Amino acid sequence: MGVSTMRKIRGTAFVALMLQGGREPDRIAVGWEVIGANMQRPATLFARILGAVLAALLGTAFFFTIIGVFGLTPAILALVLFIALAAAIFRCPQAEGSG
Amino acid sequence: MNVDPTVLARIQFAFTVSFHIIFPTISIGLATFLAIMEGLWLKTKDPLYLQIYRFWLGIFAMAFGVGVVTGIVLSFEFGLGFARFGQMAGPAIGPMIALEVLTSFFLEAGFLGIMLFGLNRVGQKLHFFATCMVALGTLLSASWILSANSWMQTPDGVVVSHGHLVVTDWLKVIVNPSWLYRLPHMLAAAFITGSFLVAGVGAWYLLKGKYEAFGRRTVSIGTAFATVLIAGQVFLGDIVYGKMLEYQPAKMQAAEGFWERQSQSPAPYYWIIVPDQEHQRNRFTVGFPYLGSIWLTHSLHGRVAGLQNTPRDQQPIMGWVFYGFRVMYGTALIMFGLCVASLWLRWQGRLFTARWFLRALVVMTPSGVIATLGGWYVAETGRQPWVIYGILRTADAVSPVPAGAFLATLVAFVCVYTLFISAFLIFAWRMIKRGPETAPAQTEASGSLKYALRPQVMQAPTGNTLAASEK
Repeated sequence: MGVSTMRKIRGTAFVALMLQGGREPDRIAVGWEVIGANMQRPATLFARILGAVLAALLGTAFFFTIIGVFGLTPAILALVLFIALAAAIFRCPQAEGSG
Repeated sequence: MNVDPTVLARIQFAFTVSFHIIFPTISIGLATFLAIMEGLWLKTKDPLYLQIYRFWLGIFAMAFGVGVVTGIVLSFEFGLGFARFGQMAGPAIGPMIALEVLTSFFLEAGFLGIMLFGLNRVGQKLHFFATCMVALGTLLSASWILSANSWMQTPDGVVVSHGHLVVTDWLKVIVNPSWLYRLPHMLAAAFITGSFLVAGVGAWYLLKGKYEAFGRRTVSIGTAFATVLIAGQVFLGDIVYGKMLEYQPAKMQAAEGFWERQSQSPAPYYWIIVPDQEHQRNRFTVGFPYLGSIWLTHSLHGRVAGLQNTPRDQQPIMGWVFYGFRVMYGTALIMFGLCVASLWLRWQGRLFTARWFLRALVVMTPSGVIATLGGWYVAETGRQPWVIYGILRTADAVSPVPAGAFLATLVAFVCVYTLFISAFLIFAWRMIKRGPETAPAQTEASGSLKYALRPQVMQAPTGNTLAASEK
């Protein structure tokens, strides 16, 4: 399975997770397990660098917004969104190697 | 001796309070973490949570003990080193310190013994209740101390009469203008400190390939808490910044490193300055263009107010405030970056396998303590030259004690505290090296207080001898 397919699956599952709001935890958990199994495949160096750059850009955008650069309301919304995204990502299964 | 007693009194208090704040920060963070771990164990019956609880309980106990001992010293210093402050502000500060003792210390004293030694002697729910009460005690303690300190930053509810403060409104003294903002900021700092501590130790085990289940669980929980909390802290920090700009503009002017009444536009964000307080200028600066305007004025071309807006005799020393703020803010930026990295790695399923990340977590283990110290340096040095902002100057608050006495006690404090910190670090390191394996993953209590109070149980070193024999 290619990286782009993995991203699509992950994106779909993420949208499903957000829409269902945790009402069907078992189904979501199974979904994450499937994605987790796919994630065991080695990603290319390019994909990792791209992911790191995207994560850095997203993190910077969140930081600037939460710190109030765009005003109080966007700061509160960004904080809530950041925490919601983080809470969703916390459910991702992890590889258990010792590093 | 030619050394100014005021300088020595301030160095002594700065040293003792800097040392002290490390331990309450750790114990506040760990107490809540322990309550959550025990609650999760009771809910899930997963023995790993109990193992985590037992392991961190030992380190919490040491931090708590050192925190209490070094905190008592501060109360004496108020009277011995800053007697004039005590005379003037006693009616406002005294009851708050007394209320801290009556509420939090009594609560902690009542339940700490059960928390530390009662796991095999009392029932699981009673023990969980004790842990929650100790955690609540640490929060109450922080609340009263922050109330007292915030009152010194933004005094309210008092009038000065014949050189003494008379309280006119207790509610305004306790819920003073900055307390509501500074308390959550400090509590978040303590929780973040605990989270990075827990995650850092877990990461070290994963790197060593030891106690991997324990390491994975603590890295996961630690980074999860840290991620949510650091985002909240960034938000809270900006709110506190805005409030302090309103109530203590000199502090924030010094924190940004600008001297001119209005900075150039766009304003850079300085990371390094060599300030010249006498000539009211910077000898050298290293900054990031535009960032000062964006962060501090929330516009691309905003100008930042400098320290020359404050009369010279009311200015804090810029270097202390500036670098205190940079230490806090710089560390928080790195923490935020690391938390974003943790999210990205979780998304990829590589949270426990990315060795660079685990190494970074180990390096960042004490980051919460460093950031908290930086924050307190901003708060305290930025309030100078006042001890009670706008009411009493620090120079007027010092006791008429010879410089030699201050110097001798300062040397004694340095020696004793060096022993304290050495003992704490050595024992904490030993506990970490020994690992969580020695912490049993089950309890053997009967569940009744009557059982716990039986002489055989009381006398058994771990409390589980009788329980085992009765089985």
